Amino acid sequence: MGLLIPSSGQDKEKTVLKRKYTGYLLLLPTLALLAFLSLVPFIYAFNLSLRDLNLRIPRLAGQFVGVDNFRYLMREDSEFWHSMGITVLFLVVVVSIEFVAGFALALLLNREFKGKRIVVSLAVIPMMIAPVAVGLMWRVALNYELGIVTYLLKSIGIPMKEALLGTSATALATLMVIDIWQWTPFIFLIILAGLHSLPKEPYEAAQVDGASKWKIFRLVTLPLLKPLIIIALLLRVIDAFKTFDQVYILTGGGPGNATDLVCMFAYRTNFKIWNLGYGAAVVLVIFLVILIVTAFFYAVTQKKEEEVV
Amino acid sequence: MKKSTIVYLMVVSLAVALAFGTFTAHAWTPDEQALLDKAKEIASDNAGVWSLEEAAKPYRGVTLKILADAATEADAPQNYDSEFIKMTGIKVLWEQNPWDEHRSKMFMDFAAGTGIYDLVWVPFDDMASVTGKGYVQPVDKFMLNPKLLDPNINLDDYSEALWKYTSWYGKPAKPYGFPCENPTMILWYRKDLFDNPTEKANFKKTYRYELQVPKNFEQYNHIAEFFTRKKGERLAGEVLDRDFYGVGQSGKRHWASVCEWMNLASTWGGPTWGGTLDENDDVVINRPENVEALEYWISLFRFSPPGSVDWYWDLKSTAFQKNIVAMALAWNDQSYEIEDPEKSEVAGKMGYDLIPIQKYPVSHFGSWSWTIPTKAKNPDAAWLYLQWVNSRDIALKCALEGAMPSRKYVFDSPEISAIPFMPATKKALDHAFPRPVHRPEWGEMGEILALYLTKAHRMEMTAQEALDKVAVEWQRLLGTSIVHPPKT
Repeated sequence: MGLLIPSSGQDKEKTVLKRKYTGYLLLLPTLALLAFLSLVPFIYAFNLSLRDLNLRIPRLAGQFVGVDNFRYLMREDSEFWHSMGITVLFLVVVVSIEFVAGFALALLLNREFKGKRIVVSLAVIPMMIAPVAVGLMWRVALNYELGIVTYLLKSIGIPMKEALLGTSATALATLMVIDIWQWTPFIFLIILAGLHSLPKEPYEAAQVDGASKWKIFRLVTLPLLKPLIIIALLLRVIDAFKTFDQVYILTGGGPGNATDLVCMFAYRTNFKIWNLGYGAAVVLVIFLVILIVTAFFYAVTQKKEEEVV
Repeated sequence: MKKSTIVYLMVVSLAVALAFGTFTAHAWTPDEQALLDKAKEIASDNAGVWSLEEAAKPYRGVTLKILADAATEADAPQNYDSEFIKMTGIKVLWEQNPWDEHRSKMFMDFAAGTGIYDLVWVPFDDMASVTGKGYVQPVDKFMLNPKLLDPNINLDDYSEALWKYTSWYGKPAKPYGFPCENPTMILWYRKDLFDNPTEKANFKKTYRYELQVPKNFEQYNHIAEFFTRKKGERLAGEVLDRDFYGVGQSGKRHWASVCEWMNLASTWGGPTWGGTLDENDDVVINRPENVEALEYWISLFRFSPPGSVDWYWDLKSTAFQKNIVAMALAWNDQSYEIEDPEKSEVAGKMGYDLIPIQKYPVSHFGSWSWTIPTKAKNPDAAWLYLQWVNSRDIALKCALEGAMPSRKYVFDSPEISAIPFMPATKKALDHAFPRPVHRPEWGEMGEILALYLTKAHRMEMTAQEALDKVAVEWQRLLGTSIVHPPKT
């Protein structure tokens, strides 16, 4: 432990330097692992995106094509932009509804009552089911001839001329409902945990000042929950953008391309057509979009933190 | 019989063969025939002197790894592998995965060149790709190796079209294996309803001809319309407790709709490559006959369950099992599920026949090939297993467990012939045609076709517009011409 007992000013300086570098040295293995796990695949994918590799077509053997894949993707691939468009629509609708419903549910259950634990446990069940299982479950439930959902809708007098997943008008909306069913509990759980952890003092002060319930909610609860809300929304936006399993199992992107969300498009390009060069370009563009969204949320969080300081 | 009658019959037979004979149109080329003859010669020389035990001696202790589809055809041989292991000392390990996962593993393994697998099942949709890329090796060198050729290989047993489209690739074509899973599309119909006297009488009253197995698509349409009934109406004397439909179609954006519609395109306008490309690989997908066939297919959804717009093949068989459909164009290998009394309400009530004929007799078939990867670590031992598992004896045993036969010997056996749908399957193979699997671009072509078929039947565009779109997209991929210039 001689390192930590400086004998002169020079030694003291050395010790500080050593301490500084020891920290970096200790971090090095983790940083190297992180770099390996995230940078290497990224560089590989980027390299691939500049090539014409297709595992199915012999003449497309991986020659360098520059930015041709990106150029085609950006300028000519209307299917990709259609997928991007409906993905944005999908995520805006589902995340908005999940947020409002999850928040409302959390406020509703943020009080002590008998059986609260059971209610909360039941409420989060959909979120705990694997997305593939959710897809299969709903596939059976939505079957036009034999499914329970169709039966119930018919029995309450809703005319069902066609399968919910069989028409362009209803297929995307049905996928949205399934996503909302599955992921509202996620928002609910985060907000509920946040509500439990809020300090009591601001509420007591607001009550002493005679603030109404709405004012307390707007001026105390919401600002205190803001960091959590941002994190919850960020996670849901990223997750909704990556929705794949349910689409794959329930509609395959159809009817037509009505539910062809961008991850389904990327899957088909990479693992059905095996156009890996172009597929890598698609995946990188998706990555870029998610990166921008994350940066936006991060900037918002930082701004709020600065305001608080 | 008079000489003139014989001559007349010969001329008619020849004309029919030329017009309809998809099977004969793809007879062996002289090079291919020479290879087969040479192999047969070696097999003949090996008779009585060759044994599997002796041939396998150098490979004793080797473990073969097989990557296969999760299908009955792959389940069945595993029950007999112990016989092979006992005879040869070569161990066998199977890995089975569902279709999508199987293809992912297959392509990943081939591209990485790991050599983990000694035998891989390849869907014929991917054969042009994997042979073109050099991922798998031709088996002619094994077929011509006296040390490795079983005298009982019986190469004449394979239907030419089936074996050729499944396993012969390259220019000049070479064999890369043998068929291992080969479903064919046939007509499923409810025999009990077709035989019901009241239904027969009512049908005749309405359509002025006997209710019978449809021979053409006009009759198919009439029968589909006739059997479509609402809940509460009577069917074969019983009051229906749910709606009943004349036909079951697959409308999902999926290969199921592609395969189903190709039968119609082929019988309307000719079966070359499923009616999609001509002999020069020029695009004919938007020819007038195909547009008509697509319009017809779309119109039939009136008599198909509303949910069928979202069906692929599994839900079609479920609909039959649940007794809500009278007819369908379906895969023969799913017939086992329909005839299983534990799963199906219509077991024993079904009839099977050839697909109705609009102009050309057709049956769309799918297939998989056994292959030996180029990087396989034990190719000789793999060939010995491949030969053994495809032998008449094992093939028959597997067929009796539900695997679809590839060999004529198996089809002709009394046990197999007695299975209700096998006679229709055997006949269907005479008119079997493949999709354009000879093109490595076919994977993407199929996806495009699936997209526009559903756009057409969801009325987002007309049949002409949809097929024109497909033609343009295919031309971009193939770099060939469009025979019928797009009208839209």
